[in-house]
Amino acid sequence: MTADSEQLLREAMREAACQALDDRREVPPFPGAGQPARWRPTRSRGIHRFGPLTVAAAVLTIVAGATVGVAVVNANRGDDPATGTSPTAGTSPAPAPDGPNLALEIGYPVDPPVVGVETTFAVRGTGMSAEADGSIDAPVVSFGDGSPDSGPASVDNACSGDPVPIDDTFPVSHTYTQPGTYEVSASIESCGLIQTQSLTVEVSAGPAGLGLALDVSSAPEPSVAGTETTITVRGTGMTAEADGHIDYPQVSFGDGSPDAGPASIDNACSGDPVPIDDTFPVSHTYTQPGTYQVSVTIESCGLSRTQTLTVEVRAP
Amino acid sequence: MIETVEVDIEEIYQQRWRELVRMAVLLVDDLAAAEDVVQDAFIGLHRKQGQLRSADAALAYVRTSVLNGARSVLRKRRTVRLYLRAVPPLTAEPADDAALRSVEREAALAAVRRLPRRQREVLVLRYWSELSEAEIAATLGISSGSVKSAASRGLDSVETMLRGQR
Repeated sequence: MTADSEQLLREAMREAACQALDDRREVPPFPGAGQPARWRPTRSRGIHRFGPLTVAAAVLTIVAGATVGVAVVNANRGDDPATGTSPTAGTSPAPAPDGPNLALEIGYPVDPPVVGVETTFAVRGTGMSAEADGSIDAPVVSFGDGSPDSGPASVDNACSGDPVPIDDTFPVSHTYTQPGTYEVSASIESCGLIQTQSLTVEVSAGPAGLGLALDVSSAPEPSVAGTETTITVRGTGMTAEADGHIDYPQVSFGDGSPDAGPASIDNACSGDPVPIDDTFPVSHTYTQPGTYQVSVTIESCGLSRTQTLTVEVRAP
Repeated sequence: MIETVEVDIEEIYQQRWRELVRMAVLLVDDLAAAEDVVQDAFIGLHRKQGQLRSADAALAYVRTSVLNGARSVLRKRRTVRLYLRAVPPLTAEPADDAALRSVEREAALAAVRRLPRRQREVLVLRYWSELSEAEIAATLGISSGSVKSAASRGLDSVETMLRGQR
């Protein structure tokens, strides 16, 4: 590569970037400045100046006889400036009957959250919306444990015509790797109205104090036939393994080759559960290009988790 | 205990918004998506207030967030990427040197778009953001050796593609 080619790349990128975003374009308002929670629509989605959101009411309902709690916040576009965002428990919702309004509920998981077991939250948005497709976008959910938020990277803000009733429920799943108390926060947006609601969940280590979660990922580079492919296997949770670690995973590479992994599993479990976080790089060389289903299983003290991964192998 | 400082995120936003949006444009080929990615990155940074070690750390964080956001956009737009791969070679006859250079720049950019994701990211960070090898490694969470090899392969591929169009 010559210096001239490098200079060409610099010029090309400068030209393309500056053509795409003109110098005269003003920097939009800072998204963190006094904004409620999640979205601040940009010019590309049409200019939405958030009208004052009036938090009309919030209700925390515990459904008697069931382990289901629902936190509800209602908002409507009112004429009064927003005076605060703290929901007032026990107040009845009073949205404008005909105008756009949005309510959000997060359902407490029916099954008590346990480490290593997928927990599902039901996020429900209701109200009146002028979304062009008649339904709101998937919510952005933060699980409170430092993991990436779930939800769309961008939001379709196409709004049209008169508001129509909406009632959309989104199941959102997450697997916690450590016991503890977490604040789950969900946000939904519809035509400039935003609602955010939090829910505190207790995640237990499970009946026996054990839990196991599995995460399998492939290397970012494409796999090439004849070249070693690396898959990363990560096991987290709580274990009572005698040595404090889970065993090497069992891996089936999907190409007919022998599985990787120990011939036998050491099931010696003793003492109190301790946190684990073990990562195993697993390498394999595919001889032919194609699409392969890799199956990975980890085991710890009687708990086992299996995950599959699709690996695309291209010709060298 | 790691010391944290109060970082003026809004100042970073005002100073870096354009640069980051342009970086994102080079990764996702679409201004609207680029702006969204940068907005989301700053919202994420805003949440990290109180956990930041320095203004430099904040900028590094938001730059990495923009890259992650761009990857997410591209994942959802595989069909568009496939379309870009099918863009025919440029055949315009240049009228003069300036026009020739302009055609070459377009061809170079088209070649960058066709690179594997890692190579494209490395080249954008190197030739647009002007980051050092170590800074690129830290931003992408990879080793300096991987940066070097991705840059070298990416540049070779770009040059090969350009030769094929001449």
